[in-house]
Amino acid sequence: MSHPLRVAVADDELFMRNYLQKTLSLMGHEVVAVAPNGEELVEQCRATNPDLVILDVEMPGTDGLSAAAEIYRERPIPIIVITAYHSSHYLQRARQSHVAAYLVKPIKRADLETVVKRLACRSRPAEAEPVSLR
Amino acid sequence: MPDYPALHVLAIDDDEDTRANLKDILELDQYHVDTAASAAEALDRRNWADYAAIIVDWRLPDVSAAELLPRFKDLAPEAAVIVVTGYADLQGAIVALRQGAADYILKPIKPEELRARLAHIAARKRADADLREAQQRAVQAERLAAIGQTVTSMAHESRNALQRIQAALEMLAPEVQDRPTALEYVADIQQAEEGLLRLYEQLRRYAAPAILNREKSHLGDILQEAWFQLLGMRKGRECRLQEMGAEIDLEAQVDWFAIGQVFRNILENSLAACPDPVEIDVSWAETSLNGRPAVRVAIQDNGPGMTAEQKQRIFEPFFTTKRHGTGLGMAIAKNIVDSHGGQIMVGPGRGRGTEIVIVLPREVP
Repeated sequence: MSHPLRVAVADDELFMRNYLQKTLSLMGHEVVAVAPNGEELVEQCRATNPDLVILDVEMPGTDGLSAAAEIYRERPIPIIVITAYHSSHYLQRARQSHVAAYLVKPIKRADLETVVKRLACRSRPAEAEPVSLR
Repeated sequence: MPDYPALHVLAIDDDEDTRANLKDILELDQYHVDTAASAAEALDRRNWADYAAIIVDWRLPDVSAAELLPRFKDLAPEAAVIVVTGYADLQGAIVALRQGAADYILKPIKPEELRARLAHIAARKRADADLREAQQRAVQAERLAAIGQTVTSMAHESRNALQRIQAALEMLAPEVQDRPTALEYVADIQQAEEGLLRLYEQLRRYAAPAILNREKSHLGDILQEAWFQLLGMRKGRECRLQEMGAEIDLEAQVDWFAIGQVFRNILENSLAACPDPVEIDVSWAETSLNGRPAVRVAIQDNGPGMTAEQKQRIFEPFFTTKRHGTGLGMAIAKNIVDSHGGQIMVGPGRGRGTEIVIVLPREVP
């Protein structure tokens, strides 16, 4: 297993927040911030300085991609987007927002594990091609 | 009249010479001419739907043309009726026009005049047919766009639901670890979820407008990569893929990913249909398509082959012979090949098995 990471997650669905939190803990990582929207995630990232951010695109208020751009501007850390949007328009925006990995729902624990491991190995700042696993 | 099928004309006249004359004149212009000597003989015909024009003598011995006109309207609503009258009977011509005849012509029939009238009718029929076809195409395009939009939003909503199913299954599995039956149900749900995801994925690809990124690519390399990607499906099976004619120039301006998908869909069908050992023969050849250089590839397998009905319907969306197929694979392949300006068809093949033939132009037109 890769070394434990401090991870911040954001999703407007409580169910997904719980899932990500549980799954990341099972993978041996520490979830240091859990936010229901983009604004709160940006705030919590400032407070907790995570190693990695995992966030949903569709959230009320500031959407995931705008939040990703802001977080990256303040501290260039790897950002993983998990979204139900499967379109080149979003992929393009994700690239511009310095998103390191673009995962299309539904994702499995194994998918997440692969991507997190790959990003953890990479020297920062991460500037990678977005990937779509399925 | 190039490109248009010959128009059918029915000529009704009791005079044998006139009938023979009409037939001769009109066949000069490649019309397909049937004749009848009386109203009764004409009404006996069974191919009324064929006629684009009916030439009828106003004075028939058995039934008057005035009575016949309403019958024509029922029997051949699309046909244009030309009434033949004498100078002495102009009144008849006026009645005929009032009853819906398209035109009248005076006896003795002047060949040039008749040909001109019919040519006019033929031109109008062709314009109508073109318009109808254009309208049909527009409706089809609109329908596809609507399906595309619906599928996109449905797939999007469904992905969120599928994610919940996936997450719930992952969290449920450890809770029931000591209950084998429950774990089997978990696996069943997982499988169903993956099947549904595949269906959405295929639907999305089918309905999405094909945006091609055409670059000079080596078709043989694309084929080999597609074959490599099917490694999972080939695992534990005896399969071979043999290429013939691969020494020709296989470079063409195509979308690598899209054509890879076409090959994958075809090879996947072969792997699903053929018993071991699977033998797939791929033959490459130079050809031309609409006067432009093209590459022809024929992919032949040694499976059970297809029935005539299957051959005819293979490219229809949702047509499948597989138990777990979505029936979109070949429809997607056809969409992709069509959007490259190419052709895909079922080949004659040799012996049993199925042969799919693709012709791809080398350059973007």
